[in-house]
Amino acid sequence: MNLANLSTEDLGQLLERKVSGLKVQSAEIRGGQRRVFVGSIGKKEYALKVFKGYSDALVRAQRELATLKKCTSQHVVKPGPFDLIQLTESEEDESGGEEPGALWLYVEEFVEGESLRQRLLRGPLTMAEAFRLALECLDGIEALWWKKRVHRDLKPANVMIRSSDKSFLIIDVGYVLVLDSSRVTSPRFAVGTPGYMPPEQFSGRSPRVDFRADVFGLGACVYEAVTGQQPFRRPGDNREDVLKRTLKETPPPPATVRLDTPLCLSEIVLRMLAKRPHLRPRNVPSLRKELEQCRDKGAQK
Amino acid sequence: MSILAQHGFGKGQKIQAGLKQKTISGVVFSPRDEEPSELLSLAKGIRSEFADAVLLMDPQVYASTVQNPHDRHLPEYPYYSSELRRASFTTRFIEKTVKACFAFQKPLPLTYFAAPAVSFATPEDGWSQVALQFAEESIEQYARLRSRRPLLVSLVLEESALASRPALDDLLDSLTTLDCTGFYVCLVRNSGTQYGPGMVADRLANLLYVAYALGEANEYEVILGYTDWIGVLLHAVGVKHCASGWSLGLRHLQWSRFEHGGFGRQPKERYSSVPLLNSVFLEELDACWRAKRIEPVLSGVPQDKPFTVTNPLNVQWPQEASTLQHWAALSKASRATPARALTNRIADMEKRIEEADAAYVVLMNDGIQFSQSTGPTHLQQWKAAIVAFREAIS
Repeated sequence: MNLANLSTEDLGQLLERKVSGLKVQSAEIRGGQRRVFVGSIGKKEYALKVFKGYSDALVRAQRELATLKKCTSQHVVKPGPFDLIQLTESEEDESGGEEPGALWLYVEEFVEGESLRQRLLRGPLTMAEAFRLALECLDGIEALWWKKRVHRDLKPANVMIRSSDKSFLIIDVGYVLVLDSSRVTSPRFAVGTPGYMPPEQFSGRSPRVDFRADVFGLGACVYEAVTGQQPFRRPGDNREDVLKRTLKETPPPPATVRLDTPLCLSEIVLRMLAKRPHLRPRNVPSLRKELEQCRDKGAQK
Repeated sequence: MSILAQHGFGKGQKIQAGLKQKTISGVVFSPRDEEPSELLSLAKGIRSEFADAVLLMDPQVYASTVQNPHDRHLPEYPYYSSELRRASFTTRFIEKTVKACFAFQKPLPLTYFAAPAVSFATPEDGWSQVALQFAEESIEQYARLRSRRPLLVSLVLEESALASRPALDDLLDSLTTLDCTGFYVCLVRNSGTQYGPGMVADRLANLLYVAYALGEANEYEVILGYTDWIGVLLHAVGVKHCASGWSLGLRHLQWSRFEHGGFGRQPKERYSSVPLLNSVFLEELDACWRAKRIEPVLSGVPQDKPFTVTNPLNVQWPQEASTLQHWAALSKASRATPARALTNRIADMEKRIEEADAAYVVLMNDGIQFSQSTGPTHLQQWKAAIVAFREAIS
């Protein structure tokens, strides 16, 4: 069965044969290499992620699921009640458009709300929201790092805002790096999204990537959330331009772009965006403390 | 910043006198120079008399790679082995060494545990990986000790390790993942380097950067061993304590300290001048006195007193008096850079370098001659290093 042409009905039929009680409710909410549908068990809704199980994709999905199971933060998306489910057998695609591979599915919490990316289309966040974004995602980063995992693709599209309580949470841990695990990606393949991934993720120089890569990604998200501008992307830039800026340029301090930005927040964000990991905050608790102090200082004014 | 005594051979009563006079605030003990039982009683004695003293022991495991060494009492220590080669440092050996080293330090009334380490010539060589293994193993074993005494990871850099900034950056990326209170940093100067406060500017700039990245940007406690006037400059960028001793070998570390026939010799009689940010020979100070220029050279510390009443060459200047005056001068010089924002501290330092330079010009215009190590050469190197450092952090 072809992933690109998979319909809600097709998925419904496949699920009927494999998992009892899991229903497909509506069409996909996001596309790409994985197709995401909304499903339910009883009244509880879940995101159903369907993908073609080439070996790398399968290993990634296994890691993603294992990561979600281990992660206890309420600011990281939760796994569903099933392990990976093989929906079809591996077969040649008749159209010749796809490589062979079985269809697989895994289930995770369905987050009702919008992504930070969608939210920012309506303009920057308030300062209070920006502090919450930073602190809540930091909680998620800490929980991942506690299990020696690095998300590696923090960006506004991978941060959701729950409509129920407006809390922020990290989703899509498909590129998660498990330290001490065998590599899935080739060392020459830069994992992440230009403008949000730190130099050590694509320059090929630093042999180690750790939670400070996620601190950089979060710094870029907060920068954009406060100023409305991506720190390293200018109109007309291509991928290489953005990577070059990430390596060479320091973005203007947020406080000079948006004048009501507390100076302390402006400084913290620039430190989060430091080119080298050793110039970023070295642990999450100290960064959290700084952010809280900065927020409270602003609130006293 | 405070000054610590870099303990070594021939301590006499200098440490106790320094602590009493508050010219130093603690000691870095050298196992090479005391029997284990003596080191224990020395540490206990100092602790009982000076409850607040900062005390640590440099395990000196880095000396274990010196071939045909003059390591004196070090082989008597349970964690130390002589004449090791790269292949000796297996995972098991590192584990055993760290365990024995901490077991030895545990009953000592020290302020910190100091981890054992090996030195490395570049951050990319195999020895740097051994050094990182020591650091990681120390952190693991320290966690098992469940001690409230904080841990310092030792970092022993040969001067050549400061040659490449990108390689240092990679090293710092690794070091700043370490969960420890701070670092005990020693710089092994190139063989044959003349003692003095000078250093090649680009290497000094990189040393400033290392101190800044660890001490200022990452808020580790950085204690710099075997140092001298350069410590005052490094204090401005994030070093907490500097250790300096009474002999040249305790102010300027070279492998010769652990080799036969190396220089552990007494320093030629010197006077440490805060205004010049340097130590000058007594005959040079005497020339200042004869030119009626001694006032601008004096440090203004109580230990200066003999030089205010007679000409310097008439002053009895035993090593203890000279050491105490040296510590007092370093201490005063570093206090003059109060803990404010980094940019202010660097600006203060630059101002003092300019003032020292101007003072030298006046003295030399009056015909006073200085040697290579006691003259103003280091000030130009310091200025260039600050410019490069400022560029590096901008």
